[in-house]
Amino acid sequence: MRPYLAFLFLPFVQIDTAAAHHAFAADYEPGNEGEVEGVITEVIYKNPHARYYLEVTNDDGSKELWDLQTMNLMMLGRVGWTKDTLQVGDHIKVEGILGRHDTKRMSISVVTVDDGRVISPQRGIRESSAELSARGSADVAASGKFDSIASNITPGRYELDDTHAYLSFSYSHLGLSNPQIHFADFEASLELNGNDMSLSHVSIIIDAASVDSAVPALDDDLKGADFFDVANYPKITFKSTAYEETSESSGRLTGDLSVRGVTKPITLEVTINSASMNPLNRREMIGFSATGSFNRSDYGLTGYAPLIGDELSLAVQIEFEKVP
Amino acid sequence: MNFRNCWNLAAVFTLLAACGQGEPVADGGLLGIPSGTYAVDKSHTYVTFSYFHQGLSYPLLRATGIDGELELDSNALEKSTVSIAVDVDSIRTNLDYFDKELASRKFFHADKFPHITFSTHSYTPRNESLGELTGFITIRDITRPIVLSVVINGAMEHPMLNQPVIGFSASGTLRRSDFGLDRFVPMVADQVEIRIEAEFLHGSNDGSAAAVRIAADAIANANAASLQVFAEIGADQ
Repeated sequence: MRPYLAFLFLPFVQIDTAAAHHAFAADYEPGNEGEVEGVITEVIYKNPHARYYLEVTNDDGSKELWDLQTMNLMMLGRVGWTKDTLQVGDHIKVEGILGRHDTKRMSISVVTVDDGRVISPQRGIRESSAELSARGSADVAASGKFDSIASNITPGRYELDDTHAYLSFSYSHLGLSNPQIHFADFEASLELNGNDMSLSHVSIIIDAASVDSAVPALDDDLKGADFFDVANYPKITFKSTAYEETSESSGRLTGDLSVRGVTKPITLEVTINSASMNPLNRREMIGFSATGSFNRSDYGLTGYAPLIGDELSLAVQIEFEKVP
Repeated sequence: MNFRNCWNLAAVFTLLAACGQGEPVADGGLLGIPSGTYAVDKSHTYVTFSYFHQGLSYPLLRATGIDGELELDSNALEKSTVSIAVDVDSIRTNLDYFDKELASRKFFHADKFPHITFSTHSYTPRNESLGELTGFITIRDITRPIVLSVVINGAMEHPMLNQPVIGFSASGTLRRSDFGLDRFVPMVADQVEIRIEAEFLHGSNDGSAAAVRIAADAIANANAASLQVFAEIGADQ
């Protein structure tokens, strides 16, 4: 089980971090700063550190290759720096900390790109979002009010971690209690853009027959013609249409919910619990909690009124992993 | 129909009747239902628990095998008690391998400790529908106090079963490490939130009576350290 394995590996992760710090002091000379100018010949956008190879032309016309290092992808992602931020062929001037022993390497502090951008892995790139946008990058920092915590991780397609996904609903039973009903089987996919959450989309497809109340007779009723009618409507689907941020870690997700052949918009209150790198498999992950409600009569789910209240409350706990 | 409002008026029997939720029962006390033994309605009782997983989400686990009884004093709610036994084997995660892992000796060790039990220490009503239920929860033979916030959602003559029924929501938290369930703390949070949705029907049955005995045995077997905690709690009351 993933979290457990992750726990077992934690000591190694810590060792790795310590080693990385050690390596920085061994390889670079803090306080010894310099500047190089050249053309990027290779981009290695991988952990533990994104690297750029820079071809530098000396005054005498000779060429030498410099190894430029930044930070790990998660820290870069946090400031909106992606694999598209600097590309092969870009002509750049770089200020940074020089390597020891006259090695041709540098830890990047500030990059001036010849298209006018001045960017820093420490201070971010948001100032220059207009230029990035002009380059057609899909993961441009947005001008939204909120700096979403989802910008910690790389934009792109995320897939459901189906070992950490729970979808349930409840209703008032005779005013006495609120049964907690699960759907055991569903699929979901997320197209995430943490730099502009309004460009993110999520879709969920639920196997209606997987409804699980822990009471077999109630399951039969819920699957039956007076309720979800799973024989005729095997899928329940949700497709998001808009996301309005209410804070850096919350928002209102509106989408089309289709149940029993009826499609109507509903709004979910979403909390982004975390967006970070899984220390075990180094896949970026994002976890959400969401709640919402709808009136079942709007979808023709008319059975068992008034034993079962009209309002169905939804609760979602869900984790996604970056598609490699 | 708004049953909650109906309940809020329950002290006034005539208004309860006006709500249309059945006739108030004679000798109905504060709740409009008689004092006595009520058994868990197993088809309308849910115990769920969740915890923060790696900071990402709150998995929603549940136990489906729940039984027990409420001894209701309808005229003095603070004298009421509830005893519950939950089958460890009935804990469901939606993942077969995780179900097995939880039942294994790595976690609940269901073969050796087949039940989680709850016994009441005291109930402190804040008003007719809200209160704090203090009791003792036993997991893996370790007994600890727990406080549950209780909402009495409603009490009435069941419109179909024609017997008195009372429904609750309750919630509380525990630290799983207190019970030896400390694997993967803190990647997987130590704090576990418990939510209970329960209905009790007037009367007793073999299963509910057996659950009460199991809960009583757990308290009888509680170790000295736990009993010390009981005494401290008792002194606080």
